[in-house]
Amino acid sequence: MLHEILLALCGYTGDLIIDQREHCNSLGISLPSDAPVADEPTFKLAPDISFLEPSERDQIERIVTLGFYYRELDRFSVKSRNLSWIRSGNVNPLVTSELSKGKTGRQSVYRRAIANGIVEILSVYRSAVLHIEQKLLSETVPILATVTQGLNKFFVLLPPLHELVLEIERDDIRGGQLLNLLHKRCHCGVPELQTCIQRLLWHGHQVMYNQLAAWVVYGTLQDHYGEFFIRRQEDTDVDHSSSHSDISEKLSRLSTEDTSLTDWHLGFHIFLDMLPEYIHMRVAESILFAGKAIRVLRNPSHAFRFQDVVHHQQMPRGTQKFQGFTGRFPFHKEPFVDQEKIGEELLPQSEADKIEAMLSDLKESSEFHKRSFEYAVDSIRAIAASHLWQLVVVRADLNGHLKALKDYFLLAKGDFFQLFLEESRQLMRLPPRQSTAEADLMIPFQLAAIKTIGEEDKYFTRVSLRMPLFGMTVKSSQGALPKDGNIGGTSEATLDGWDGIALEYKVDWPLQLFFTQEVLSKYSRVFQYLLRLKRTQMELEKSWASAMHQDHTDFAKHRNDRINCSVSQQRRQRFRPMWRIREHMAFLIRNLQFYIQVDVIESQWNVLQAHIQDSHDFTELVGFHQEYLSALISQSFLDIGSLSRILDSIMKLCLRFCWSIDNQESIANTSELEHITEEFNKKSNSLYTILRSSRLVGSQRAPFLRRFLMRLNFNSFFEATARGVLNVVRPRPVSVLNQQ
Amino acid sequence: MPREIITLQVGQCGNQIGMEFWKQLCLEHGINKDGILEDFATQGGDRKDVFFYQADDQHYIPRALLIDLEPRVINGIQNSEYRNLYNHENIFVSDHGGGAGNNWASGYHQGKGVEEDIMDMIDREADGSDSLEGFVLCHSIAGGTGSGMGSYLLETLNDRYSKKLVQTYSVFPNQMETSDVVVQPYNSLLTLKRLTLNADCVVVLDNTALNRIAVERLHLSNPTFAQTNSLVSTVMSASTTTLRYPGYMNNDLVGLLASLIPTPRCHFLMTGYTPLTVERQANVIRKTTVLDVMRRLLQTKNIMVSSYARNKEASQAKYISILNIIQGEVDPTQVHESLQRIRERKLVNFIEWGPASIQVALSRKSPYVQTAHRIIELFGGRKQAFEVNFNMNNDISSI
Repeated sequence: MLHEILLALCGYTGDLIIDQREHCNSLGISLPSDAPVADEPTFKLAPDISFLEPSERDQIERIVTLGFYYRELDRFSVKSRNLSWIRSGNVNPLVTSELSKGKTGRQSVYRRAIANGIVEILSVYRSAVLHIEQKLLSETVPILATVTQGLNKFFVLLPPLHELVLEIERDDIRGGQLLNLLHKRCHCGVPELQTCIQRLLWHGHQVMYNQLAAWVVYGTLQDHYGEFFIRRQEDTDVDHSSSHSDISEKLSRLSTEDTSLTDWHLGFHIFLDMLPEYIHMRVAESILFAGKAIRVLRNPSHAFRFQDVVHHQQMPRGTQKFQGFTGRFPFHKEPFVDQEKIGEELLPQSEADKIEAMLSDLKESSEFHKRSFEYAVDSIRAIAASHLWQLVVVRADLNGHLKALKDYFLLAKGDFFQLFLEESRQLMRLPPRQSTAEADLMIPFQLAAIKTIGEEDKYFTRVSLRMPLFGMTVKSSQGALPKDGNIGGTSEATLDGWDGIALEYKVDWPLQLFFTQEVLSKYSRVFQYLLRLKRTQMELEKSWASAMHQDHTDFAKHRNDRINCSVSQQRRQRFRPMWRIREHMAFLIRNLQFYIQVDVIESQWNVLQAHIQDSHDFTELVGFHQEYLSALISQSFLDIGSLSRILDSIMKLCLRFCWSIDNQESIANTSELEHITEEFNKKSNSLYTILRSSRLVGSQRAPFLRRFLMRLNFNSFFEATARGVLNVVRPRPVSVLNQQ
Repeated sequence: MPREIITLQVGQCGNQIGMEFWKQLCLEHGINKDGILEDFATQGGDRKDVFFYQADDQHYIPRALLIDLEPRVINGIQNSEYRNLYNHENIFVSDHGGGAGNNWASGYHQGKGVEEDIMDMIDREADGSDSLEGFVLCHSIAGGTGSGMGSYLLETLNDRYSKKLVQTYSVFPNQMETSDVVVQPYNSLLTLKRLTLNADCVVVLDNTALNRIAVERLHLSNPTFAQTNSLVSTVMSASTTTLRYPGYMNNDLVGLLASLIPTPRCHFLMTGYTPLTVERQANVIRKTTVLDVMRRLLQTKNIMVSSYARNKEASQAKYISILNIIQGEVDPTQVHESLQRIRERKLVNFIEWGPASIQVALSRKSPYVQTAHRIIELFGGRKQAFEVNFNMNNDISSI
């Protein structure tokens, strides 16, 4: 009788104690191993036993529930730990996955770990039962109380565990959520239960640490079932049974763009569902970053990327979803053979060991300490960031590239662009031809390069000129460029299409991490602006030279002809307004340029340099660089619509002025000139008003606006004219002239 | 190579300051006395080709023409340690060697006589350059050769290279001492007319002011010509730094001049330079913040012209335009602060009939010249000075 009970306690029912459910279904059929865990205790004393007192009956039934719990937990653990699929999986992954998918739903490493923990607890329970049996055997009068006493403590353990298992089973809780659940359950008042669940949690964390270690030490995701809180982006895409075209498109994208780049930017993300709530988002992001950094450091060259792509293509489409399962291993092992050395250099083994040691320390501690975890993550992140910094700044010569970008995109190599504009001046007088514009420009570009730069600048080879044409489809890699047209191209018909000239900069691995497409497009935006400015200025200078020349020849003629002075005097009088307006235009453009060069670019550059000097952390660097760029854009007023529009139209006006001067070598068309003058005066006045306007003064940009304003209005001329306009209504440049 | 500038050194004074100028350039570009690039100077990122070209054996040769009617100074150059620097074909000394006798007309007339020879040399130099930007003429306006022959050259250049710029560095005579040359004022006047009409830009250098600066600033009791000439060469080299060390702006002569000269006739520039040193005493302790330097440049005593600006009229003098070229490492934020300060304190007067401001260009400094401090140079056109020149001009027209 007692043995019957003991057996029942071990989960085996018999005649005396029966499983009601089993009984109900059909007698004698054992439950299939993967039947869902029953939610209510079904072990009962057989009803037909009459020799027991009701009290005894109660007692027995109570004890026997433990047996039920035991059985159910055991079943759960056996089911979760079923590893058979792995063996078969190696034979044919496709089939098994289908099988496993159909049969057992998604597997879970975490659940297996928990099951291991449960087995541990169950073994304690089993040994307790064994102990009781021995006790019973040794005692002369076996009593039920011994059983009760021996198993009493399990009453607090097994039912909640059962409940837990039940919940896991029912809601199919996996991965981080499982950890989350356990963590929540951990907070209970029963010490035994608490330690027990903590143990389970520990088991769960083992898995997490393993995955974490794989991620931050080797940069690989060992996450076959999508349980880790960091995920590959593709996985989700692939999961929705993407159509063929979809995949081929993706493959083509992968082969054109480089994968490591996409890896970094889009490849991985934090999967919120799987992130345990007690791990802060910030920490998770640190982990994500560290892993990505390690990934980059581990896989340093083009060769790898190539292999990666090949690998993608070799995979039959059907097995796409296995990329995550089996694909990953060969993936990373192959390149390791040849890349190991470089990887080693980039990330010394000692550092990796350090990270690993840190994680294993965490692994060993029986409890999860949030603080120590976060601390470890932080230090791992710091290691990764500093190595990435090392890679980017020291090895990849970030400073050199920044300098080069400044040289070319911010026109610091003024002589080069001067010459380029000079050479292409004739070309740019005509509207660009749709098909050949870029090739046309290439000639002066190369010429200028040969003449000014020669072989000196190794970065020049990375720079190339682009001429995106309106109405033409631009390749996706240049996708960011056409939008710049919006800035230049106001509603007025663009005076010339040459404003669309853009530069491209070829960035090598691993600097794509730093110079993203977005960053480059910002640079390109500034570049177009500056180039337009420079072009305008150059035209104004040209007109200065030609007018000066005109003056000389006029004089020479006058000297040779010896005609009366008054004619020449009159002629010169007529040129006066032209000189005047030219000077005003040039003044405005020049000061804008000085402002941008000295007050904006140089200042910001110094700030950036100082930051780069101080910082040894990659993420910080990226932040500083972003700041630098946005400062450039905002301080050169590119993002203030009203201002940039007016500056734009002023530049256009200047160009128009120069051309009209150029076209009429003799006497400038006075009405045209007057028109331009008037327009310009209006524009410059409104520029002044905008700069002074209260709306902008209050804004954050006020200091920069004031700087520019001060340069413009150094001798209060603008102020005076603006006031004059207000009073006189119509600007009268002639009256001012007379004061000379 | 692009944007070349050919230097013409005419007369005794022109050749002397020219000599100093090339010395200075060689120093800044790391070119030794024989025109060979020093080993340490190969990575400069500078543009030597504006003022130099390379001979077949990689020697750097100045694009310079040395012209004089008497052989004394040029012989001196040819016997100096720099004799191998110049292209000997570019040296012109008149056959008779008698000079112009401090007579403008003689110089002018002799210039006409040797026009062919000189123009041949200029043509050769011009052909050797890729896109010639212009000419720089160094001369004095008081003597005979510099003024007379220089004037003639100005006119010829204007005829033949009408599209090219002509900039002159003209040394004006010392007004404090009575000159031993009686015709000096006439020489000056006659040259001034050509400068007004034929040159695109005239940098006025005043012997009086140079002397004064040498005495007051450098504390030399009796400045030698070599010392005052070195002041000139410093200014010349400093004003061309943006051409030789290209940056964002002012990378060619047109850009430089266009920013300073608003109308054709207002092309007389004054210069200032600080901090000044002579080789012997480079260790003068000064505070060289941007503001200090910019302020110092605005002081009349630092300006290398001593027009009437020293009198009470100075307070009414007004600048038409100012360009400050700051060499070396400068914190750019200081520039703005200094500008603001100068404006607040009204340290500078500008014309009120047009927009004007102090333009500040940042330029790299030669890495080979070791100076402890920043070097800053100012270019300014001053209304006061123009009025003087306009007056003279009118006189000439009426003669």
